[in-house]
Amino acid sequence: MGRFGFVIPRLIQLVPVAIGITIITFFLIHLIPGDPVVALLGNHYSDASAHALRAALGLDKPLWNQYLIFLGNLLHGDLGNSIYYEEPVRDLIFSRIEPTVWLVVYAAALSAIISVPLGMLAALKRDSVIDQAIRGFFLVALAMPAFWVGIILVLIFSIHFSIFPVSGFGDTIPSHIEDLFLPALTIALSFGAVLIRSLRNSTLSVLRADYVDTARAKGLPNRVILGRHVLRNALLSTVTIFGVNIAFLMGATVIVENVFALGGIGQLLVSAIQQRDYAVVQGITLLIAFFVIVINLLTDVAYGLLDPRVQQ
Amino acid sequence: MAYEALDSGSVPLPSTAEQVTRRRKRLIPSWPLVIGGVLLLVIAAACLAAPWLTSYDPSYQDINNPGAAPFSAGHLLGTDAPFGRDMLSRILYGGRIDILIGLGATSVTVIVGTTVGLIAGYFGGKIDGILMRIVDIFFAFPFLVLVLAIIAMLGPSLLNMFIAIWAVGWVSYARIIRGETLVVKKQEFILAARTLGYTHRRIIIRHILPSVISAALVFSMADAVGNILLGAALGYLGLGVPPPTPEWGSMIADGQTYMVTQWWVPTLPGIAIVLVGISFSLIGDGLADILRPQG
Repeated sequence: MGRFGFVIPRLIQLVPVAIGITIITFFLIHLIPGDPVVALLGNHYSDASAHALRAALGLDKPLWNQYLIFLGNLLHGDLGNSIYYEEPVRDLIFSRIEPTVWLVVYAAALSAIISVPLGMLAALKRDSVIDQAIRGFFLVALAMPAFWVGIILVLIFSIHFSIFPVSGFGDTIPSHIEDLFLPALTIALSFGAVLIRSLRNSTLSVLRADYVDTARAKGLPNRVILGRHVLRNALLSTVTIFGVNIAFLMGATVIVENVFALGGIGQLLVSAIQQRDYAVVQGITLLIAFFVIVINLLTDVAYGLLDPRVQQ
Repeated sequence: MAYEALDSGSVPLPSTAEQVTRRRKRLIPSWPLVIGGVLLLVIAAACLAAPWLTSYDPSYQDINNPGAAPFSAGHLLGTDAPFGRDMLSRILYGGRIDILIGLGATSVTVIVGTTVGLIAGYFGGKIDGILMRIVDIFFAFPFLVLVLAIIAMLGPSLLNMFIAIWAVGWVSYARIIRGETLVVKKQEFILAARTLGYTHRRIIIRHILPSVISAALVFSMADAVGNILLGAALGYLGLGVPPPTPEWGSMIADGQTYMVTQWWVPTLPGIAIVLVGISFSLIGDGLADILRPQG
């Protein structure tokens, strides 16, 4: 077991949360005022299909029974059917997930590239003009709605300078990277602001630590101290801060996908809402929540692997 | 001198009340607080006083001047395309909704979340376990996604937006206040109160709450910014108040198609959002400065 010993308890802790997620998502459908079957079938309503759906969902049975049916379907990978696209929700999500995954990874990478150096710099030159400027810039950035930032970036870089396209995902890998740059940058500006604040704080506490004083007393040059101790700890904190804030990243992704018409599940979610395609809304919500807790687990594991103190 | 420093136990620490008073005796308690507060008051007052500040009705379509540039055709901030509605009045009237969201949505979540956090932190044990487990589950959902899902089910409207935010937004406060309560609970004056036989209710409200409330207040400012951005995002996605009621987010969405030729139509509402957001953030920073224990 060794270094992975702490993973098992964490996995077990995950189970109640996962079940809780399914419970909340299950209850979403029951928020709909009126008869859920009428709502779920929309324009395709007919007495026969209503009867079939009622039986399939067990709507005449008690609530906990319905939940178990829902859970059972879930474990078989059945997320229901989209009434608008007339295909299983699972297939629909799968066909749209690629742009979203690309965007999340791209945005995460850009955020890290922006915030790690700036956060450390702000801490190292604490209270200097640079520090104030960085923090001031991100105070403003956090107040800027992501969709607006996206539009402004398009205005400047797509229309005025014609470097990047206005929207769309592209067909080849190089075009993905090009087309997704502005969307990823949009997310990175707000997510980066969140990261910078936390990184600055954790770098400040590292700089105050005893071992840094020891290193200085040993006569190590600043460059070495920075590289060996401060940077490492900053990167370690980035992993944790990342995991804690992944939900924020997913939320921003949903919005930005709609601004840039990327065709991912964020855009699918919004169009499903407008089309009253409840099963799709439910499925995507569930999926995103699971993704968040999986990422949290992974960052915990990564932290455990990187920080030798955890194994004790 | 050095000897006295070692004997720290005999130095009385100033109480929180004394610290705050001492801070307030400076002329300007905190620059961010003042700047943010003034900015917010000015904006809110402008939005409330909209009928006196602009002669145009926000829905009135000046069909002779669609998409007019700022400072032209008698419209201070121009008009929107294609309808020719006065931008200044739309921004001022629209601000009412967004500021209302910031204040109204946040105030309820503060109260509910703080209550839950106090109960969980104070009573501990099973209650704490269950409540915090529920909080953890909510935290797995991105705020926006769960609000979107709830609005999807209930139908888009301003009231449902409030309901959705109230249903989801309390969890952050619960976590923060629970953490603070756990710390305060261990202090001696709480033990003294228990020994005196005060009821749990009295201890929580009179003794623990004043010590933890500052954390909630500071966070509520950041939360208000988040709620305003959320409300604007919902408006942008077409899930907020129905047209023609102006709202900054939906104005940005409407203006997006015209951004090339009439850049002010989507840009100006965004600037308004940023200004309100900055003012709330500054107030939050200012509060953190004032309420931070000295020394």
